[in-house]
Amino acid sequence: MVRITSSDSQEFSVSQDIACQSQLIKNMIEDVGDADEQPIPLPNVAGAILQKGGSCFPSISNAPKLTLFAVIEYATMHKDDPPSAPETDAKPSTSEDIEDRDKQFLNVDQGTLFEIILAANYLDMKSLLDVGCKTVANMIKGKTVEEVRALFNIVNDFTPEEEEQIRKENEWCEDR
Amino acid sequence: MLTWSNVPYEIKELILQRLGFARDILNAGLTSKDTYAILTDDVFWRHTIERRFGTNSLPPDDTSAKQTFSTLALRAVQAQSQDLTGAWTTNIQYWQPRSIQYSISNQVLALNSVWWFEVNACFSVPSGRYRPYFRVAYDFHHYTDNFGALNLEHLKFQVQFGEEGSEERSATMTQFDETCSLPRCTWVRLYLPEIVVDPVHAFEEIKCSITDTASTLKRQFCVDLIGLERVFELEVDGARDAVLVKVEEEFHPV
Repeated sequence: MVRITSSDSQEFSVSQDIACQSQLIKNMIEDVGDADEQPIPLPNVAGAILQKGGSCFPSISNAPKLTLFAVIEYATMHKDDPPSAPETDAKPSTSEDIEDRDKQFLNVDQGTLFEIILAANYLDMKSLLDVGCKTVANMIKGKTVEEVRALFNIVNDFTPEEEEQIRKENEWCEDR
Repeated sequence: MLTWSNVPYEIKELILQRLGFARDILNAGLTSKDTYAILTDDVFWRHTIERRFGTNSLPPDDTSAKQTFSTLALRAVQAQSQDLTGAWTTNIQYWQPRSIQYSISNQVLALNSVWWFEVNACFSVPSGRYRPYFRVAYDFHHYTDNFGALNLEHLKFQVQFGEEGSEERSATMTQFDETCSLPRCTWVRLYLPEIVVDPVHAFEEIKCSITDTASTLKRQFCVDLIGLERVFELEVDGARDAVLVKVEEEFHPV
């Protein structure tokens, strides 16, 4: 078992094969040696409010600070997956190819989704990072500029002239 | 709470890379100045190319990745009359730029009386699968041999690619239309069998040409477009190895 500690000092015990889905943790274990000795601190990832084993994702929107818990759940769900191909061999992919269980896992509010993506990036968990980014990309697809701004509460800081100029420079994008 | 506005640049970049389609990327980029900054970064376009089209489609380091993406995302690259080269194509005694009904390029190259001709279009494209095509029109009543009979046997459509043009696909007009029953004065799009541009020869010259070197008098042959239509990996097309002809719009001869 590997002990990891979240930024809010919550400690989790997880099996090594689950923990090592994070390249960061894997490297730390390899560097430190015996994983049982001391907990691995993850100062950039918040812990969990929910009790482990509770019904997690339907209630995730009420509990924004459960990132590490969510990440562990994801790693547990994917512990038997075959290792992914190295990036250089990876085939072109689209944002459509998300497994149903991952879609369900990431059916959370925007804030939590971004937290999970950031945690995946920090923990160097490529598959979670990929599926998280694809989920956000799917939210954007097919929307107009105004719809994307409304979706993410983005304040438009372009003048109409600047926006027009950029559209003109990128006219080729319109039909592709 | 984390929002789009305070998500780090690198994460936004990863999300935009996964949009794939240029229109979606532009719409996301236009939401704010800091998001648009991603679209001005060539590294972003390199990663987007890798993700959507594979590593083999990456351009050389000194080539704009954004430009390459715009080519890759195109269904086709094509040359219009003013881009065509060959024998005397700029000499109006032999080839006249003309505006003909239902042409796509608006100004086509129309053949006056010649004994032989050669029209070329050259492309440099990323690796991938392409179908060379030619949008042409001809008037059978004027495309005749010395005895006034229709003679399409030597009207040849060709593409050369690979190392110094070592690979070739070609077809003569009779292969496209064995019965020579194509209607008169109709735009047709002729497709040669698919070619595969490998990563080694990507961005090298691919030459598409139309020739007729038989010594017969030829007139009223019009070239609208010559191009390469991209075949995306996921598309299934059982006729990739065949020569194809698509009959398009009819027009009234001038």
